Amino acid sequence: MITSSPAVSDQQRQRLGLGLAAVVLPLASALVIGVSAPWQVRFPVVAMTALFGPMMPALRLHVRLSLEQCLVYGLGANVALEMVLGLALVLFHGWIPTAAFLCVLIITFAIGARLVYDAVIGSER
Amino acid sequence: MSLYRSKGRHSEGATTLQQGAGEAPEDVEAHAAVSPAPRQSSVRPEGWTLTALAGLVLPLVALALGIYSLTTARQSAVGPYGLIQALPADYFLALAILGASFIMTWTSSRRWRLPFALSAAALVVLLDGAPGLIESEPRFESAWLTAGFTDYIAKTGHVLPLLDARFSWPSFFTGVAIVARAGGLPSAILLLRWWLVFINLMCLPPLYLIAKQILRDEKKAALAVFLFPIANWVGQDYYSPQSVAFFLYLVVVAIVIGPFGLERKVLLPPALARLRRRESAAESPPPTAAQSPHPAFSYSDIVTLLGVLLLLCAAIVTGHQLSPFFTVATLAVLAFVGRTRLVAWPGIMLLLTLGWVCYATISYWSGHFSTIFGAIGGVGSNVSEDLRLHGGTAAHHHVDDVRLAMAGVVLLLAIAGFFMARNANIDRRSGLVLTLTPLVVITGQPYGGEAGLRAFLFTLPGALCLMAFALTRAARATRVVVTGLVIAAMMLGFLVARWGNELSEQVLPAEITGMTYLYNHATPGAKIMAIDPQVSWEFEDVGRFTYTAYYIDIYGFGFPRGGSVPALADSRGGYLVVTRSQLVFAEQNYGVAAGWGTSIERRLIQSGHFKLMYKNADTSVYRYVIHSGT
Repeated sequence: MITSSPAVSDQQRQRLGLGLAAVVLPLASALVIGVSAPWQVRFPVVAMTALFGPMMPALRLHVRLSLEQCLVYGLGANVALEMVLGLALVLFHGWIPTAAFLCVLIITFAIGARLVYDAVIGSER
Repeated sequence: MSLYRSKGRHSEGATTLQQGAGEAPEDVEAHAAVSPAPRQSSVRPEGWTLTALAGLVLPLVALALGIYSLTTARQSAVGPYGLIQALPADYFLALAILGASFIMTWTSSRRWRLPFALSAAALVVLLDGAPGLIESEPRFESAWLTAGFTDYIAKTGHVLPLLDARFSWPSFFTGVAIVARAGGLPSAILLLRWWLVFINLMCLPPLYLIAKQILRDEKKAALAVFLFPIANWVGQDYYSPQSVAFFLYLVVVAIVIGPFGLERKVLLPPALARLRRRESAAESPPPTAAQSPHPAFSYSDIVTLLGVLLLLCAAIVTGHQLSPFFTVATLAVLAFVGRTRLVAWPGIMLLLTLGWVCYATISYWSGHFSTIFGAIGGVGSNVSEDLRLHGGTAAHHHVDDVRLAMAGVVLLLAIAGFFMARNANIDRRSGLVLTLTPLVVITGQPYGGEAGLRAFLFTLPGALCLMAFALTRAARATRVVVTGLVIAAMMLGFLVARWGNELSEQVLPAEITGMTYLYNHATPGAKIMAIDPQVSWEFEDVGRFTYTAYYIDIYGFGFPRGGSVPALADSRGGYLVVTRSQLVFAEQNYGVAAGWGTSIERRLIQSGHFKLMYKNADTSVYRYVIHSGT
């Protein structure tokens, strides 16, 4: 239930939007990976998910930043996360990129679900 | 840190952590009195007026017209001045429409974010997407090599630090490799064509946050962002680690002067300033909670943001050689002049950088100590090498002149903006720091003649903010004319400065065909050499062949007496690749006579050491013949 206060409802709308995206994108990515879709379909979905999550929704979950700050910092953090994650896999000789990416998807999905839950029940942090 | 309040000088939601421990309250501007909240540029409510509609439609019209015109352009028309010679008239019309629509929206009294965003995005697509639409193959030989490195890691999960220094800073490759593998991408080569557009679009949002933080006005910030694509002629935005490192740098700066921003009046460190200004403490007390429109941060917020910052810095440090030093220097000076609370962060990042260099890159620097540190202090030679003040064709010199002029205009207007902002409500000190600090790097290392280019790129965030401020100081009519003229001139300048060397930087289909033939027929382990660096190779099967670290010296081509040619003598085979791009590159950069390539190839065959193995329109592959006693 979205409350009637403009500021609160705006916050909740943003949470809901980000949360839904954070739920849908990992599911879509998991689907295209699971069915081994052609790269022309699979890569754009996966790349979009990698750029979006999990940091964009995570920053919206706890930190009191504006939406644009969440998006920009989250975008940078997601790029950095993929880089550092890949580096860790290489350094520790455990190159399992798809499995690692699936873990990222699960985290993104979980954060998204939490955001949607928060937005729907109207709890403000 | 005490975190009781955020400052009102920030734009909506641009929250700031309040004074750090030990921070003298007198050093911090009482924002309520001195730094009012950023102007929202419009007080009137938004509405669907004709101007608004035009602001939305015109960028899309310009984009459609521009893309259509680019699809009709011929690659064969690329000439000594580069891509601009191949661009149809419609393309310039599209740019004019785009510039006009931006100016129209920008001068409107209303505030529309979407038209600004559309204009800037369309500009990036038209300017940076032009080669992708005109040329048959993705441009620039270094991008092909970088794609080869990415594919190698994606397939094997290993790096080859002894093969190339870039493997010692591999996080860019590993990051792309993860997404490429998960996304089923057959080869990173498929990313090259549109990478320029992608990475420039990515840079716009953090740049907007920085500009809004410095200029405290959304429209001025929008102008700074719109200027970025046309001022960024540097050419470091191809598929490469540095392109992503620059984006990450922008995000780091946005965080450091954003949520962790500070506005200390005095230049002195807090402890010294406190001694001098003790008596003024009571005059400017810190703002109270009731004065701030922004929410305060909790400790978990701070920890989260610091975690994000650490992640960003770790990616920069492990992804590129030079970018960490730009970042450390900028953060250190920002901290010194009182523009961020994170006074220890430059030290942390420096430790990260040195730690990575000592731990993971020893295989690189242990053999290149004099190369890395030998040039420190050689300002004149470094600048000269960076600007490539030697040899070349007249057209090439003209392109260089346009580049210098573009850089000069940006920096001069930035300096003018700094002085004009003396009593204005902008953070000109941060702008100046972001502009000048990267230039210091030129004194340290020529970086293969590219440190100057990189330094100019890193000056852009600050310089464009100050430049945008300078352009908005005149009266309205003058402002519109001057800004329009500057944008128009810089658009034309960009097309020459950015794509002026396209004749050698384009990659021709026959060159890729020739290299692919060589890869299919050469014995693994064979040595491959080119006559100069402008060659697209190593884009597949990295590590399967040995690429010589040097090229045939085109100045003193004393073949067959010596030089680097004997290095090709190898039982597994030695090959020399001559491509059209290499020949044009030598003509453009070193001023060798036109037709030099024909002469070289004739001499190669006459020497008896080289046998033509493959030839097409743009590539010749020679096999080195070992004679007894050679």
